Amino acid sequence: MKRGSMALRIKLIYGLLLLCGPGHQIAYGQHAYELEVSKYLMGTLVDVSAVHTNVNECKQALYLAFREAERVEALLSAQRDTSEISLLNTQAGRAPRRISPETFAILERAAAYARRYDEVFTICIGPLSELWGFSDDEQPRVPAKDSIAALLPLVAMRHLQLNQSDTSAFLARQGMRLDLGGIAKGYAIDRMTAVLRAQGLRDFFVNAGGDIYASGRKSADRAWTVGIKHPRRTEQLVATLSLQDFAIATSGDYERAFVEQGKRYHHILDPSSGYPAADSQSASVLAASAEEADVLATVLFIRGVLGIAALKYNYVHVDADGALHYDSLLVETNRLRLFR
Amino acid sequence: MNRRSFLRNGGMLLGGMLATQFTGRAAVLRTCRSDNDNFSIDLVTNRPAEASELLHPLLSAMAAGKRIVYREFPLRGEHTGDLVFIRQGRLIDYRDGAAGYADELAGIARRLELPATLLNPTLLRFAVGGGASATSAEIFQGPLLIGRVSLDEPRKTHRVEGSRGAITLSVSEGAVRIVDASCRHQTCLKMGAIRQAGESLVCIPNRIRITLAGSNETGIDGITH
Repeated sequence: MKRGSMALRIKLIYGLLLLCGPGHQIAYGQHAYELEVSKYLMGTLVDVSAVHTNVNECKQALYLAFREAERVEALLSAQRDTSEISLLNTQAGRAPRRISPETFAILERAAAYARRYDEVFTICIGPLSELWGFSDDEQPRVPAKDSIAALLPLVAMRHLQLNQSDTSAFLARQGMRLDLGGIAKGYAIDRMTAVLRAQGLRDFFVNAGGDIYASGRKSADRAWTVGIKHPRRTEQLVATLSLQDFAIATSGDYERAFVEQGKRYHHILDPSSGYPAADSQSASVLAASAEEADVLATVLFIRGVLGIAALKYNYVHVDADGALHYDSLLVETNRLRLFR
Repeated sequence: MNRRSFLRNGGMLLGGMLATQFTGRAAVLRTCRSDNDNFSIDLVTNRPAEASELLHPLLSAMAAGKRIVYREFPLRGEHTGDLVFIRQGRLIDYRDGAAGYADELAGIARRLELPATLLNPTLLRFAVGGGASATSAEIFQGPLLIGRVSLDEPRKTHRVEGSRGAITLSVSEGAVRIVDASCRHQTCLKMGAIRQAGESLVCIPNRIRITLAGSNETGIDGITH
């Protein structure tokens, strides 16, 4: 008799758990609050929206997430003299330097991405982006052909020596400079996501200057929805899609672009030539982590669709002629809508 | 320190140009839909965490299961702390005992020792339902709410000082755009005009953000670029 009632109770609880689903403990509609916080970080505006039942708990979680992003920025920003990356840069060509296991792990992953994509993605791009004037607030300009050619040998991952035994790193050539701009924002979003989840949040949306992670849903009847900016008519969108527990990032030739002698130049440099990549206007990639999406958007932008098709990532690509390429599966899985 | 002075202060900053959101209330609010139950509570306090706790039972009862949108803005300088309750587009005076929820709201104001003059307080806003379209633009310098411009007024430009220079906004026919910026990139000028509630213009060098207040009707939560 007793045993019977015990079994029933367990079944009931199990049934309730099933109803709630794995990621969705929030009973939507039960006085859920929607919070939004913005802050300038990593040279951009970082926006987080979150849905939670308790305002003060949610605020605390958001506060901790932003603090985590500040910590990551202090570690990785090449614009800050005290970051581990800046300290490595000042030691270029001189001596190896011990770095934190966290920074070391990021450099190792960056090296792995570079190997996988034939150094189309590289964190050694620093000398080139500096030469073009894309790494600071100065007005960018087209450098002399010779000065680009002179720097190309420094943009090579083989000169970044990583020593696992004492987590040290060494830029073997003088003049080398690491620039984690193509991966740090994605990593920071992933760290913020981890903090928000550890604080018990399930439904939130992190947008760091266009790199986005969407966790859970906005509400029971609405998924988080992302717009992809039109690369030429920048007041408009080229597409919208929904995201759940997934990231998206976009590389576009319209940010920080300038015209010199009638020719347009932008900030996404092809490391093999030292000039802006010419095969794309906009490249958006969906991935399980914001870091992957961030890296892959650059790769897709430089290589075009042919370079990424075999990689099993979903994408929306606007090529140099303005033609749209996308995986038609997205229409079903992510409610992709296109505007022309 | 009466309601009027709070409303005037609520219209805040940048001199007289921003006094419109509250003092121009009648004109603004007539444009709101009143067929659905929407309400908002604005609260200026220096005890935001306690205020949220105190308001929760009341908000839960009033929201009746609907989503409560919460925003929090730090204010700079001296402000009159008080509580403003707007329901179905109408300002409800909680000191009028006959008004709905008057007792509850008066109790909360008492617990928070409002009204009072407060230095660098926080503006909390709880909204349910929201207006159909944007009625005002809110201007932020970093996290600080430094001003508010009504979209109802006829064509007008506003100069906003940032951390490195100034930008000039133009408001015309319910749209806001940046028409001049001191920085070199001029990226914000290329962002064009915004009209929908929830849309923003951002000037990164000056740390200025202009956001259209009201519920987001576009259904888009973020833009990747």
